[in-house]
Amino acid sequence: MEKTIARPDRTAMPEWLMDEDEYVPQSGGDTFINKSILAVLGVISRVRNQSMTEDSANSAGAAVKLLGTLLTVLYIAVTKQPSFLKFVLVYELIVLCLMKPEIIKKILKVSAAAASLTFIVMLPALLWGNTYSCLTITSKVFLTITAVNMMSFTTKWNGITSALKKVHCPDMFIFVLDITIKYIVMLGDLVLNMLYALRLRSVGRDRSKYGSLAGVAGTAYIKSQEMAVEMYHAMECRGFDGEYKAVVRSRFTKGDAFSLLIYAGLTALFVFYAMM
Amino acid sequence: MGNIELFGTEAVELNNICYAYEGNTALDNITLRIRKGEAVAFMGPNGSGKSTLLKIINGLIFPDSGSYLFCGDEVTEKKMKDSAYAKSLHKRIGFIFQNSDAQLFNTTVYDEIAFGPRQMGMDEEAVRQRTEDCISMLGIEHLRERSPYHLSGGEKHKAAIASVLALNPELLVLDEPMIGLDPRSQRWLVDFLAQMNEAGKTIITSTHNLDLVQEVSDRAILFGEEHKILADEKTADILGNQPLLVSANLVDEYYHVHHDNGHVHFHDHE
Repeated sequence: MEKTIARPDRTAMPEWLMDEDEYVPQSGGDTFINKSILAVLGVISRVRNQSMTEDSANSAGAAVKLLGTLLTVLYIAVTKQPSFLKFVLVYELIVLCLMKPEIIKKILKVSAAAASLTFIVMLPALLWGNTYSCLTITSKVFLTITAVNMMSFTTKWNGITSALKKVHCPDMFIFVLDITIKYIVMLGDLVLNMLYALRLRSVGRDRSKYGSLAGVAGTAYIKSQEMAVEMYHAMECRGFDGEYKAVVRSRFTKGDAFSLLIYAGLTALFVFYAMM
Repeated sequence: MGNIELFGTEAVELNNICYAYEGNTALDNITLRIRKGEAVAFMGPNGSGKSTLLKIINGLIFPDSGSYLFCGDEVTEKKMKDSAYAKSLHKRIGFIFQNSDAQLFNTTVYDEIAFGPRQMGMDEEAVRQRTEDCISMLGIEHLRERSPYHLSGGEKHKAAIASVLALNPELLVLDEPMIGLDPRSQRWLVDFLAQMNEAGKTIITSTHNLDLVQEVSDRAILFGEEHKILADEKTADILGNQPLLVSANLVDEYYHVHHDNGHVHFHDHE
């Protein structure tokens, strides 16, 4: 049966649409939307920047960097020797010096924030005279966060996932990580556009701005569900059997060898201090 | 600062606009003027900067260099920080997003359309009147109490258009409005835009759809892959210039116009 669609009736134009509204908006009331837009923009640009990261300071492969970072974090957590921590600090500072200034700033900002928070939490210990624990734990947090951020800021997401595959991380974990990153960007874009639309139509005082934002969140949730179902169907159609095949770079480079040498030195130092 | 003053005949004036996303050029030295009451189409391949320019026109982002004037008044980042000024601009420019999902966030179509008028502080009777007018103009009476998210693509589009129209903007900006619409809905939209233009609204449409571009615009601005304006002429002239369209990557070499019956289509005559 042929379906018909009504053409716009050119005589049905309401008068108000022909005239200009005499409307003078009041100031204020949109800070919340603007802050939400900035927050979403920040997350999207962080994930996107990660995908475009060019590693200037460390030319090692992602697998070597991942392994080295895991070892460094482990040694920092286990060691009881402040001298070893000093060596790690020197190593991290040298690597940081080779990075771009804006990346150094970002890494140190996060590390300093985490260390400051830890110091505040440890303040009671300091007041009870346990200065050593307070300073050691704060230093360990600073060094650990710096080590992890040094890796994450110099490695692309796909590098990290292929490195996880190389160190025999379960496929499902890699798959979930990969999809999560992808979805952060896709849903982030959707939410950003919704917030833009909300801002464009917020031409006055919104008495229920939290309601509007709840609508944005609700739509993003429904959209994410739809996307998940569509992706599941697409993967089934393409024969997905539960095994996620991440591409692994197998070439061993000079950068890998140099990094391994440094991590070997760090391991030797750790063992040396552990035996003291 | 307050409200934007209305003077001059130019609705939009862009002077040497440049914009880059993290070092990647999106717009390179764009200069153009759009007069009040004009129906203009932005044409160009993906990534040529059309959507970025629409965002600049709507005051969502700001050019790295160059100036943008709306109705003779320069729109700057500093001015847009003044909430009353920003709201006044947003009231006067209606932006219809490519993805209608991004534009609908209320629980029913009625509330979606009433959102703008309620913001303007109109009393509930006036809000109801304006909302019903929009509903009837777009022929979506049956969708009044439906949740926007569960509508079809065409229905969502109509709800999004109605929600913007309820603000009674002077300039309507549409980003790829034909995408995702079936042929009947496309035809409906073409007629509707013509009707809006006749009513005095300035219309800017960004589109890939060469079949319908001539019907939604008198003038077309062609963007190239180099993020510059390649041509700014009558729509019919641009559509008739095949080498230009091929160089802009909008058509392939088989594109041609049948002058005898005045239509454009795509197939190889071998």
